[in-house]
Amino acid sequence: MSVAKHSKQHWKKSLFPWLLLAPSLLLLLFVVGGPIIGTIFLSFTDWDGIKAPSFVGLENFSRLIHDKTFYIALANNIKWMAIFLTIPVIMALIVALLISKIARGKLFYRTVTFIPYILSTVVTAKLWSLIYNPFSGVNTALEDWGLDFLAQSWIGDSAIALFSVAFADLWHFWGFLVVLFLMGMQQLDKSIEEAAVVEGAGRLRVFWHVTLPQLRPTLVLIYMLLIIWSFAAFDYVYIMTQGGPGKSTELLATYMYDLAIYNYQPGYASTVALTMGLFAGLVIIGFRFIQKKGWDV
Amino acid sequence: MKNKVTVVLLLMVIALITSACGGANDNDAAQTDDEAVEISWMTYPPFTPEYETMLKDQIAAFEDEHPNIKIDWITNDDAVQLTRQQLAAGAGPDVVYADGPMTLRRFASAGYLEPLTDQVDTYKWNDRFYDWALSTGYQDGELYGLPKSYESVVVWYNKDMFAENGWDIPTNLKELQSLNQTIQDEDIIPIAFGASDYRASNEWALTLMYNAYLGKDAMKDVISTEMKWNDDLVKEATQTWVDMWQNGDVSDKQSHAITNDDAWSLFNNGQAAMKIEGTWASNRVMGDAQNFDVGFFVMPALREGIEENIPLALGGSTGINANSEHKEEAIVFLDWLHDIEASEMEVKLGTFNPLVDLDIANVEDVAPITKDIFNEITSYMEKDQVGYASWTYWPPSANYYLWDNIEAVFIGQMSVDELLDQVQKEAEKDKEEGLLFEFE
Repeated sequence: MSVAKHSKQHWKKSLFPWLLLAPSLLLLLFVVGGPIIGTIFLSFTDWDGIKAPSFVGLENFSRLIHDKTFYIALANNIKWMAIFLTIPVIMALIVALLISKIARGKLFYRTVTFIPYILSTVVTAKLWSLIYNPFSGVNTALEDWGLDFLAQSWIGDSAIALFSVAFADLWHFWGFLVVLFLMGMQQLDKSIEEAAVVEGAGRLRVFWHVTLPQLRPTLVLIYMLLIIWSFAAFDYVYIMTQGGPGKSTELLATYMYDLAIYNYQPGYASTVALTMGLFAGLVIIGFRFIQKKGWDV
Repeated sequence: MKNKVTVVLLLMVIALITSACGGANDNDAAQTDDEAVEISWMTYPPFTPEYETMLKDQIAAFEDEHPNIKIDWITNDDAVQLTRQQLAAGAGPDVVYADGPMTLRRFASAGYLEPLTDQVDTYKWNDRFYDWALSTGYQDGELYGLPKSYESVVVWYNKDMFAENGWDIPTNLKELQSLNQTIQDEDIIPIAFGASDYRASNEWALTLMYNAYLGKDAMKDVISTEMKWNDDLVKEATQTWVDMWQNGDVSDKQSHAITNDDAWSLFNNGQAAMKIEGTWASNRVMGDAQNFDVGFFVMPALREGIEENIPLALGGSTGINANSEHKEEAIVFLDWLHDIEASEMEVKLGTFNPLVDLDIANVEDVAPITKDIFNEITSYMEKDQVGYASWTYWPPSANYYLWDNIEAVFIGQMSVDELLDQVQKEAEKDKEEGLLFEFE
């Protein structure tokens, strides 16, 4: 093989693909890398969004350590994550399992569960705000049915407001998980399941020992997405409660937004944003770790 | 070069932060004309179709009078935030709209606005505007913007309900508390108020209560930090509002769980007797939403020995971009926006520019409620019984902390003392940063 031919092949194999990828990579670097660098830079400044930023060293981080609202928001994010890692996942898994066993009408049930997901966030949040309205929402129906004891100030009671908002998001979101599980179930090796049944295993045992282990890659993906999304949660809280009552539904993202937009502190808001990025980074590192341990992720 | 890199990075970060909530641009650009100079002007989208028509009429009238100037009117849901980002990058509209004097002054102190002091005599602005209004556009002795639309916060009430039940408008705190109890006894909510969709609206109620309890002089002392925000008097004012809320007088203790529209529904349906909101709400009572007569009253003095007052604010301020290539033309448009012809067009929709010669009697087709509001505010101005609304006068960080945390006090997560101690700290920070309102 001539040197020229070898060089041409080398070019084709190793450099040409990168050349094709270059525009996308440059765009990615600009769109993702730029704001990340900007956020890191701003977190060390006192920028008010108007005047030129001044470097303040670790002052913002010191403030963060003593910031009560940050801890409240962080705790709420963790609660939010706990809700989303359990309720919708269990609901979606059960429903997907049931739908997968149906011979006729599968498409209908799949569509019904997925419909809420195609509604826009604003529409869903406004809809649930109406449902939670203490003067005209679900409370009125409960009172009409003689179930007054169930009537609550759904987003006005600090003890349940976060769960009420999360439930609205969950209602909108869980159909997406159903679809992910159904896709995962389509990849299952049916012969293993059939073998287990022949061996006399009951439905629950088949599910626990055969189906669920095979769904592990889907579950891991879902958990990774849910954890990262939980730390970025913003829209439902912002539309329905804006973090209230008090700080009962304040999340890191809503707190950051308030600081940057209402309180003219995008410098400090960047510090809060950085912590959100750090949490997301830790999650990804964690999943990379379990992947290296041999999990099929 | 370093500065340019910094600015680009800042813009990208801001774009990231605001992208989730930003709206789309809606360019209503004027027709391109090669010979005409084009001036850009960005505002929030008009809140009613009538307002949009009026603004378009204003622009058309201006362009008729000034064929050499075309207006590129841009609307954006986050107009002020977007302007802020654009100005930081050395760009932005020629005519800069700010959502009040405080924002205008922030822009001015950053060097984004063109000083207009030399134009004061040229356009006779000293004679045209009320002194209190024009003074809000000054920063370090230079004028940077003109005042737009003054407003206040009042108590709207169901006139028919009051008449049927023989209820009188209260004249002091005791009467207000007694009225609230009487209304509650009839299974009606005394005051409708909702803030779940816009928690900053808590400042409307705080403005009303603080001015009514402190009086205009003490309010001014607090704003200028001559009196502390955690002074006993401010504590009493705050506690009075908290007590009313906890007594169920305000949306049956659900103001934090309902939106402002929900609160209006309570009022419109006769489930609530009164509604606290700004004078801008006249638009809501001019249509057919209510099947009863709506009136309004100024919150009475809630403490012995002070006169009642009407807190004043400016709904907007407008200046000229220091980087504009057409400053001269932009100033012509700015002046026109605030002259008597344009202002009379706005009066019909309940927007009052602070012009000395603006007389509502000269304007046709004005709704009676709009006339009443205009005349009421004017009479208080003439009597010099005007207070200070939060969004124009109060220290910004202190004000933010107040409205951001008052609900925590309502529901017992925070005490009045804790709230006001922190507000005082925020006010001191504002003072250090030169953000206190400069009273002349």
